[in-house]
Amino acid sequence: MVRTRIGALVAAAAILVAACGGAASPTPAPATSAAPSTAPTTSAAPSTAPTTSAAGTPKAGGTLVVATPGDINRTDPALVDDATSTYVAQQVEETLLTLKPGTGDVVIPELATEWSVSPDGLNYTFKIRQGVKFHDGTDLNAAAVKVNFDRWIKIPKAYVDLGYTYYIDFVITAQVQGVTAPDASTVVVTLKAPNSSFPVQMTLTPFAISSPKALTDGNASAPDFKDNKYATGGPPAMVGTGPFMFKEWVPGDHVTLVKNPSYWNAAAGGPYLDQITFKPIADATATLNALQSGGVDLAQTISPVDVATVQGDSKLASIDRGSACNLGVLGMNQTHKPFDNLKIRQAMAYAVNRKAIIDAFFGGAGILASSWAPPGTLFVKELALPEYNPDKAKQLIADSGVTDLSFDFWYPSNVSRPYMPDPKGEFEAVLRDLEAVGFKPNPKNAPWSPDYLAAEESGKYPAWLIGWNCDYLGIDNFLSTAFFGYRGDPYGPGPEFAYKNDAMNQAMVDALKATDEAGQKAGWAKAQDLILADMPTVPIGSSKTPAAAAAYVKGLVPSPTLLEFFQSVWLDK
Amino acid sequence: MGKYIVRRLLGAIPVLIGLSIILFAFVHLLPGDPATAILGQHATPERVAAMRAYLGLDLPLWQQYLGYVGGLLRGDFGSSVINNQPLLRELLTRFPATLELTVAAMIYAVGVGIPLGRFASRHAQGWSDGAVTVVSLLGISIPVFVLGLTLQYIFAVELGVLPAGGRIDPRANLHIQSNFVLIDSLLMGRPDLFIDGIRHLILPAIALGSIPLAIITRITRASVLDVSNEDHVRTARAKGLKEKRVNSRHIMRNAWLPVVTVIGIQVGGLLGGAVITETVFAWNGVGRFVVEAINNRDYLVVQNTILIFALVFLAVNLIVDILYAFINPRIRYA
Amino acid sequence: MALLSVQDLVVRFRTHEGTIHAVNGVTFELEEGERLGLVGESGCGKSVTNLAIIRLLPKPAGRIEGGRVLFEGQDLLVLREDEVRDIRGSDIAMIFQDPMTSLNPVLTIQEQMVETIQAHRKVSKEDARARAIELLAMVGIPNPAARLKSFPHQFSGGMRQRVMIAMALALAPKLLIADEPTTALDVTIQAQVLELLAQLTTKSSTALILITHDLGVVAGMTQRINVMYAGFIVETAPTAELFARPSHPYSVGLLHSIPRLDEEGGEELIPIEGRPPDMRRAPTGCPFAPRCAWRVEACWTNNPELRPLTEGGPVVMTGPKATHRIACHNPPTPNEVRGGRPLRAGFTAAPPPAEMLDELSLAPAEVTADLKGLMAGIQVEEGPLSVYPSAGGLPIPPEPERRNDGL
Repeated sequence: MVRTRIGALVAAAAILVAACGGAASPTPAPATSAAPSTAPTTSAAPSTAPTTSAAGTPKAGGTLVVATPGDINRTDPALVDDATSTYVAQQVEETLLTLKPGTGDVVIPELATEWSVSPDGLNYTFKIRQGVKFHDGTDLNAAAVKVNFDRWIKIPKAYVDLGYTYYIDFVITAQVQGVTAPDASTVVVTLKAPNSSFPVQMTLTPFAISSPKALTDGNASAPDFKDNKYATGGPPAMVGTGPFMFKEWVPGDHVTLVKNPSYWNAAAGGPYLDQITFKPIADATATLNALQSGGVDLAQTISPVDVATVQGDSKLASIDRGSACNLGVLGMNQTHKPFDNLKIRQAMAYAVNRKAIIDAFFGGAGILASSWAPPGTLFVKELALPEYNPDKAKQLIADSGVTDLSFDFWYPSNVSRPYMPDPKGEFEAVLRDLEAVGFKPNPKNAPWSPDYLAAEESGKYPAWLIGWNCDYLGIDNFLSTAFFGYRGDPYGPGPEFAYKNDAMNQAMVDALKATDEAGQKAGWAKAQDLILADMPTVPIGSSKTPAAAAAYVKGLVPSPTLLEFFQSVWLDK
Repeated sequence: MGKYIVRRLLGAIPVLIGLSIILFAFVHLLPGDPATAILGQHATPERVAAMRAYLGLDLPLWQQYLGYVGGLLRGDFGSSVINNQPLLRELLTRFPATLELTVAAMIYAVGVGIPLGRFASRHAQGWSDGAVTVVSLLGISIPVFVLGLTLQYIFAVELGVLPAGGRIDPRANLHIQSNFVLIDSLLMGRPDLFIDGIRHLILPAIALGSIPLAIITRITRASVLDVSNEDHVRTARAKGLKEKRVNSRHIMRNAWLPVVTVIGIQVGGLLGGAVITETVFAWNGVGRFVVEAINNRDYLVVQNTILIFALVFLAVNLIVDILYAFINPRIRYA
Repeated sequence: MALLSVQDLVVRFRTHEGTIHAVNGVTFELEEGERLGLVGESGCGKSVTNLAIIRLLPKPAGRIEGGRVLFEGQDLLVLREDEVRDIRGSDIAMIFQDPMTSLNPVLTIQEQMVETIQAHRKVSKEDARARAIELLAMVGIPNPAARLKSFPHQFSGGMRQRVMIAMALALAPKLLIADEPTTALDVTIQAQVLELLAQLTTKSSTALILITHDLGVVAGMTQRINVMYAGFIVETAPTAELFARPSHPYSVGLLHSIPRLDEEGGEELIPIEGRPPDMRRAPTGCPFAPRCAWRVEACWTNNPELRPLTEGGPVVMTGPKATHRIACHNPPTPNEVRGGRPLRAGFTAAPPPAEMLDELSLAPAEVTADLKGLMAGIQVEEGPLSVYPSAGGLPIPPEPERRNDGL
């Protein structure tokens, strides 16, 4: 279940947790001018305060230098899935829908002014914003959007083989039947099966709309990728509608964006910056040094251990992204004894002091799990997960009647993941907790890749530590894609946890099929309640990705999925 | 001399063949399937098969090797999995950065190391000699990345006199043409950017040059002491030559020989050190390119970049040996 | 006035292991054109003496701690460094033992000769080169103009020593110090090189100090011989006199330890027992006493001075009539000289006094090892004061006329 690929919108491996400590004041308005939204918005949106904003009138001008942990891979948003490439591309190219800045779950219109779904949940109709021009001067219209969809649908096989099309495979190829543009401002996307997460998926940067002219000129669909200029730096490359325009990419060295002087949504404020330069700095300490010495203005991610240094430096501001897009769990497999027994699984949940683990191993900025998806996820439900209670655990064990409490308990070596910063330390803590209530786990470990992953995914481990880096902050991405969705042939639970509950699966299917918010919410709530009752795994927690900026960088709205837009950013110096 | 060079060139062939086999085997003996590693665990079998075909992994091993070597002979070093660009072109765009850095590091190491070694040899056994020895031992034993980060902290963060990383001020808008920042800035008639480029070079060059500096200092000291005790130096003094001439013409001309050899060997070490230095100093050279390739599991890139490193290393050693022959008549006329 | 007058020269080496008493008050003189042999085992101080004369002792270990070195009446030891440098190579030239290592391997012969000439004479490079060709021709290098461009390794050992001689004689020195000039050469080449040296120095009336451990070499080459032991001159005499009447037990031992073709019948070879002393100790008695078959009690406690063999009359320091002097409490009789051992009835060598037993019981091998190590450490340019006689060629019989008989 766990891809070795770096999770889509979550930063690179070194980066684990953020410390808290953001100021709280409002930011320049998000990119919703007068768009009447039919968006299904949820009530429980934990709005994250903008961190780097302070009182004052935004000033125009200046260059923002942003440190990223790696270089971008390609200059075509459709063909990237790593955090750095998308972080750059989302400043230049815009999507039909986006997330309200600072949230992970509030879908708002962007290049579409509104959208609706047919009663059968199969047809999504987008009204395309009028009067918007691409950076090359061509018009955004329904035809242009259709060109983009058609390109994704017919993406050359070579690109797929090269592994460039993770999101296209996942969202377009698997789900989209076809696209039509009945008039100049309407686009209808037909799905193969109902999927209420489709709007959330449409907020992903890979589905940003490019200028059809640039796609043609840049040979963006060249059968041989070698001939594709659009994805390899151009010109033309990365031609969208956003507040910044792509200027140049010197591979390995920097990407430069410049202000779009005729941005369609200037009314929302900004863009203020004349230029943004993204510089890859792979080493975390070097990133901090660059930040402290003024070489860079903003670090997309910093090491959790440096958060305290940043907070102690009056010239810097630490950035708290509020939530996270990952989740670590204590895995159990029900084909292995004693985990076929519900009371045993519940006893495991009561036995583990999850809060102590979060405090000890997540750099003080972890988030204790309250469901099988992080807080801030659309439709996540705050569950009454078992609190640490060894006596209750012992009682449950006694009630279960199980006498053989021994099992192999695994952890991975040679790895650190955002949801599992210190696997060995965490493992030892869990081990002590389990032993304290009478379990007899045998400590085992294996190298993360490929041994550990292959074994756990095929259901060979009775109990182990594992987790998920999200593709996007959607409840389906955790509950279904990552953990408990039925798949395979015959259709049924995956071997990883061997957790079978047809009612739970049906609830998820219903939620995805529902075309109204109430139906979706009810479906996901039911699924989460059933999972809680079955306790197939013990969710432990998530870790936020910390960032830092010079104190004079204002107006950045942090996002748990790093969907941060520099339109609102300005330099107070 | 010509014969000597031809002999050396021929001698490099078995080395390269051996190296190509080792690198090829290394990549193919790695646990796990490269295709799976690139695509991730969720990849479908068809996708893995396609990737394997793209990488040529579906062929028998010997065919893969022959194809690989055949490509190399045609000058085809393959393409990066990440952007499908020809590796050679990728390397060439990054090579100037590494060249600037290594040349600067070498200038630092040689420019400081040789005088320091001569100084130490003049005060052999004295406290200043001891100090030089201790410093050079430190130079060898401090890991490059620790030194690099420490230099950054001291000179960029605390003192604020030098930039922490990069090749040029990112706000400067230098349009890189040849990728030699120093050359480009001069071509553009921007002496200010030239100075900025030099300022960016100083810390990484010191970090990268520290190990060669220590080694060159030590070998210079030892070599000068060795030569100083040779009979012909006594002869030179007995002839009534001035001490300056004895030093420059009789001691240093001979002491250079081992120093030059060591400098040649250090160039290889610099390529290794560049991998770390470039990572720490956000220096867009081939060293960091390799790191990125490793992170991206771009095995062919790793494999062939190392092969090209080896080629460069062999070439540098050949140049050094020719230089050696030039300053050592016993080889030249052998 | 003698050309060279060495008076009470004392040289010591300061090392981490202690002080090496290398030269302990050496006095001798040399006239213009005179040829003096300095003989002794390796490490006896003969090379150090001569390095001290031109102030080329290895620094900082080697120090001249006493005495004077008058060259044409001028004390070299008080001159400034640049003044000494003017004398080196021009008035006093040196030839060293190993021609393989004594020339700079990376410079051509021309460069090395021209720089020598130009160091002392204001001449153009062309003139210096012409002079170099002349000199090479003089020492018998065929095709000298072409050979000038060669590097040392392109010459044979003998040829290289000829180059060294040419270079040494380039500025017509008044004194040539040749330190084991033939030791590293083949026997046949040795004779040729010695012949050349004798010829050239005679022709130009250049005084010569020939340092060797090989009595055969000095026999034919010199007019007078100083025998050195442990940093002292223990016997000095005109060459013929010394070979005819060696009078110090050490000289006797030296002569008996080499085969002599002029003796009838196979005379027994008598090696000198024991090893040279540990030079880290300031000698109290005669330094040769522990190895001496003639030693008496006084030898252990009282270092004898150099005194004329026959008392009375003035002491002549130089020339063919130089006074035969030895430093010995109990010189061998002529019979004993011939026999190579004490022949007096009932004579036994005096045992060491009790207080010296300790140091004598120190394993000689250990001392040797120590010394070698320590000398390696300071890199004495003379070569380690090795306690073993260095390997040399076969000795040549001592008659002067032997050198003309075709060898």
